[in-house]
Amino acid sequence: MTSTQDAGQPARSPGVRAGWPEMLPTLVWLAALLIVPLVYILRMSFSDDPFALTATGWSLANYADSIPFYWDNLLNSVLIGLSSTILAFAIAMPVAYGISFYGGRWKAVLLFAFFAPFLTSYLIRIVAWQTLLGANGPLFGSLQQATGIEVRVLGTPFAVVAGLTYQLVPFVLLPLYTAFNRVDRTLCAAADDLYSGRCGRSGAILGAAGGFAIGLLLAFVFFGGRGIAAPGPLLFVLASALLGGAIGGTMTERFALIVFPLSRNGFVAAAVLSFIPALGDYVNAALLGNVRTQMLGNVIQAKFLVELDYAGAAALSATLLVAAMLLLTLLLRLIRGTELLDVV
Amino acid sequence: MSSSTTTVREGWAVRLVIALALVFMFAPVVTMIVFSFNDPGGRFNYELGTFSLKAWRSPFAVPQLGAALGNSLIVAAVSAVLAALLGTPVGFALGRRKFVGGGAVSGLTFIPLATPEVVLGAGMLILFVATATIPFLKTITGGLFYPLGFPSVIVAHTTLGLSFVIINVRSRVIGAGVTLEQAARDLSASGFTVFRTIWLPIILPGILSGALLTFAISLDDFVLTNFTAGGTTMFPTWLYGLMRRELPPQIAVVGTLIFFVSLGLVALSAKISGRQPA
Repeated sequence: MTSTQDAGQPARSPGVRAGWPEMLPTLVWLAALLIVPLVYILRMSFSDDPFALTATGWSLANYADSIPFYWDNLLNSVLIGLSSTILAFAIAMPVAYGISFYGGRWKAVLLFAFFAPFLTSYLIRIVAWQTLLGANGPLFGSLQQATGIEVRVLGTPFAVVAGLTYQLVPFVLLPLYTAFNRVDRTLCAAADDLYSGRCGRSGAILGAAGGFAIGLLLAFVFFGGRGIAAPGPLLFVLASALLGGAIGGTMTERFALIVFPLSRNGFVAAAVLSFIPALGDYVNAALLGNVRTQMLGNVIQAKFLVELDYAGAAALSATLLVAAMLLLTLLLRLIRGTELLDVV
Repeated sequence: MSSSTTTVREGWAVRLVIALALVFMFAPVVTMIVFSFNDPGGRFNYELGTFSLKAWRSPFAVPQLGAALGNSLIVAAVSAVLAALLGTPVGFALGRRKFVGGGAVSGLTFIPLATPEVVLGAGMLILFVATATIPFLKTITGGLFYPLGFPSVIVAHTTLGLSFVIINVRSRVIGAGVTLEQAARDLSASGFTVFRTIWLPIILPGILSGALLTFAISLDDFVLTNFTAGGTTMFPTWLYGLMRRELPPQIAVVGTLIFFVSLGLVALSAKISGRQPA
């Protein structure tokens, strides 16, 4: 997706023009097709005629009508999006670290292997997940034939999270890999010389707390608010806390104290590039979920393309946009803006 | 270099995770390939029936499949060329030096990556609608973008791909060629000569990989296409409609074909540019 070579900041070279005339057509294009539509959505969301195709008048009714009504969908977007992002980090973080530090001469090939599945069509990948997770599919169909246990995964929140996590892994992997690659290896060697070991008790406590929180979130998403107080979900939360504790305790100090803090840019970029698309995704929810897992994106696309309620859809889009922008501003506080382009 | 110096063993753990993650990543791909050889016996290719080469013998036997794929390929190619042409100057300028307003240009580049695609698609849809309903805009655009069709979907995909061209070109320029450029200027080379003989060879791989990525993203994209293609039969949106009625094994065949052709293209581009893929 981008060069993995070490790329710093552009040099200051006086006497070289910035090149505004050459950039002008592109900047006009981007302004017309990014800024104008997004501003127009904000304007449209205050329109007082829901079914007019252009904005007319001013009103807050679109927000007042739609947000309470679609609150569950908004909540789904945030919770399912957050769960998928966390799981994508859980997969991509050790993979990026492993490829960067232990990949050797297989680095490029290994990294590419994680992008190769994305060379097929987005929709066909989701069809493949439908097939894999189906009750009569190759996995659960044969399980049922062998053991008689019937497993229903397709049409549950778990399937939506699985499909979305799959979608996000490369977007987390690439920024993390690029950032890990830039970590000065002599620092790691120095840490080894100073007998750096595993994180031990403090790592285990932190890991267990993290695992508990993540387990609680996932249990809430998978089993619903009311279903959480059953033995199964509680056991799931406990297992998650134990796993977190085990990982935290055995994690090397090299990763926790050197590589992790030095890769802040990568973590921020990865969070932006995964959570924001996850917030807006609707195809996974439409094809892998059920009626109760529909996200805000499902509502927006139905309102725009089926019901032609442009103003109501604009109000929901604006809500999503503002949420994404708030998150972006918050995350950008942590790093300098232009550094984002370095790790993408 | 690092694994030999470490005193704490963690290599086996990360290798295990990489192996498991690869299984996760390739499970759908393997499923797709297996199901391209399947005869489900019904209208939906979701359950294993009997082994069959029927779909491979006639991959385009499904009505409209060929046309949808053809349209998507045309849109992807045009978008890739447009994105390369428009993105290169900006990527070049951002990488070569710091300048007043550079941060704003970077921010503009980052918008498509930091906006939920459904919002972007919705915004473009109402913009295209506005070019038909607002007289002033209608005069400027000549009604090109509404009714929706090739122009609107190409413009949408180009906008998405632009960022990737800019990022790729920028990363090629940073830290490269500045001293060569100064030497050439000392020898009184013209601006155009400097660009052609020094910068172009440096950034060409960036332009190519950016364009290739735009092509792949365009072919892959469902959301923007759904909002901006209108009645034009594009592969992803056509498939989405078809899936409600039937899912013939030909879809898995076409997916497998796209996968291996893209794999070949990536290998080719890696060979041309001499740098690692992805």
